[in-house]
Amino acid sequence: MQNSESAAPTQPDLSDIQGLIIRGYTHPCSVHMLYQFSSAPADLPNISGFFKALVPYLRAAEDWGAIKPEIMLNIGLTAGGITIVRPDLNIKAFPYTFYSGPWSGNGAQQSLMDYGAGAPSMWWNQKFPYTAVHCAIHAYAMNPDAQANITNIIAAAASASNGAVTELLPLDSPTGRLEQYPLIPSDYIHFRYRDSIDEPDLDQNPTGTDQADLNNFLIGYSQLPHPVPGPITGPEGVFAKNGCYNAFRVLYQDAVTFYDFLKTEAERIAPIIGMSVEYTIEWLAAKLNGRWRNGSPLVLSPDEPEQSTSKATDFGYKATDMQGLKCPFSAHTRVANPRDEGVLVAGSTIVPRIIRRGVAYGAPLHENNASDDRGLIGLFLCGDINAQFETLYGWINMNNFSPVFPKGQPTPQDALIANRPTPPVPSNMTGSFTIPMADGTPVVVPDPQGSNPVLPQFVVTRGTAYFLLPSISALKEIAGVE
Amino acid sequence: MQNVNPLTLYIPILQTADAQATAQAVYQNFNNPTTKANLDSMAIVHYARVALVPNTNSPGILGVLVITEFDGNMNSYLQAFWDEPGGGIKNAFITLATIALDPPPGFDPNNITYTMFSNFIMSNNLSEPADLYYAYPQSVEQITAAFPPNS
Repeated sequence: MQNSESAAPTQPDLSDIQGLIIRGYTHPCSVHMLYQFSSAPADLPNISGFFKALVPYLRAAEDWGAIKPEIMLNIGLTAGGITIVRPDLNIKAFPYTFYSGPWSGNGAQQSLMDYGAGAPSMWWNQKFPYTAVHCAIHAYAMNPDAQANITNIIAAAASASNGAVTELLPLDSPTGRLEQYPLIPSDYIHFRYRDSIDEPDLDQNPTGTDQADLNNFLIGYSQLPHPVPGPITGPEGVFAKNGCYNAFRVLYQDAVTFYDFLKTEAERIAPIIGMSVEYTIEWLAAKLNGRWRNGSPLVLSPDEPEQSTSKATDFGYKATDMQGLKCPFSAHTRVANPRDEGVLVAGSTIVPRIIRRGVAYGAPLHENNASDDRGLIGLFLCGDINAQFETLYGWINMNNFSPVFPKGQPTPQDALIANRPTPPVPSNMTGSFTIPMADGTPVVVPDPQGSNPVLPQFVVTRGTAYFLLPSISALKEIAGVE
Repeated sequence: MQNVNPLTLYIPILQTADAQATAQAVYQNFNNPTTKANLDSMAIVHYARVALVPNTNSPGILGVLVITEFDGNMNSYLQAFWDEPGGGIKNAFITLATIALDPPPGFDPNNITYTMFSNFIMSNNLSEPADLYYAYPQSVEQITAAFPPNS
């Protein structure tokens, strides 16, 4: 049996690839604008005009030199959006999970497991149906005035479409838009953790077989024998080449519940570990995450955060922590990247990687804004949504992917971001979090003797959309420009 | 938050002698020690069976049903078939595609991609997770750890 997804390797053309894929932009301001297109064929020229107005600001992956562009943007299209702007393409030549959407019970939701307040029926604050999202414009700016400028340019382009392009406003905020909040330090997110420390290196070797290589993210280059970025054949393959998928996920972070949980549990645990409550709050926050809040991995800095390890990425678990005494097995960063721990799921030993381009939205918690919306605007880039993003999310919700989890016991979950099991749906999962200890008696949170020994729902899904970030040439073709 | 899911794959087949014989062969070759060893090694399949649906008003087979329940998500399930070293189950699915009334667009059994493979199965799945009654939520690994099968 041949595998036609093994195309001859060529070097990616950075001028045809959207910059967001290759570069972690560090612009301090960004806004992520969602749009719906009219499905009337007569409106297609007006939609094309919308794209044409944005092309001058479209950023490719080439080096921009010493000076960052003051404003720039990248564009994503959902399967519904592609169906409208490229009606000649067969959307069912794309992967099932992309064209069926992140709300699909037979597809994405078997991994994402959103329910209750985070269920697809509740997404986008119920301001529009999840199927309405056709396009995302990810706009970046060097300062608030520049952000206002690029936002106005995009809004004006939509206004000029004679109703063919309509902005969707998902938040209960003054603008309703998904706008980056400038947290300080800038690489921190709500819950006060440093984020995005360890990203795939995106080696541009087109024959590379490492999960972190660029060709595992970019459509049209993979040499891997297992599921690979696609489509790569037919006119759909031509359209998708040099593109990358973006699993766009907006996650509300319940800071009040999280901070209360840390304090309550730390008061119980502090006497057990013989430390102050203040230390224990930070110790528990680190155990839940796998890194201290400054970024130091527990494997390298098990007792306290250290400046020297705060951005460390070169470490594993196999040599020194297969009992989880430093980093618990269900700590968030250990689940999302088990490194050399050992993985075995239905015969697969692959540890997938994703590119994260997330930013915080909403003001940090203070005494007068507890009810405000805040969380993460997550851009999770991958060549294969199924094999990369959804596989990792399935692991987050069910920690059954490694021999370190005992087979004969209820399945644990990611300590920070999993969706918790709730009645009446029967579940094989445990809602508690186990911290192995050197004396052989683990610390279990929440208090097993409590009335509801299940971790709270710290994170709730506000909305999800699957975008393709097409090539620059594919977007220019839609825009009708050279 | 359901952690077990169903697949009810229904493939109407061509009404040719070759296609009818192929369907019979898939059915008869399914439940054997090789299939059992492959599914046992995946350790996520609770059960699996193939059934032939007869024509209503004439002899022969109308279509082929593959009915299973598995742990976790369809993604891991189909990737396991695709990556299976022996390739027996993957090839059985591809064989069904060759006799399908409605094969995948551009289907060539000697040059198939994972996207074609998985899309063919997903687009012929008649089940939704909410359809499934299950008496227990435990996984195959949890059950076999608690009650090791007699060897």
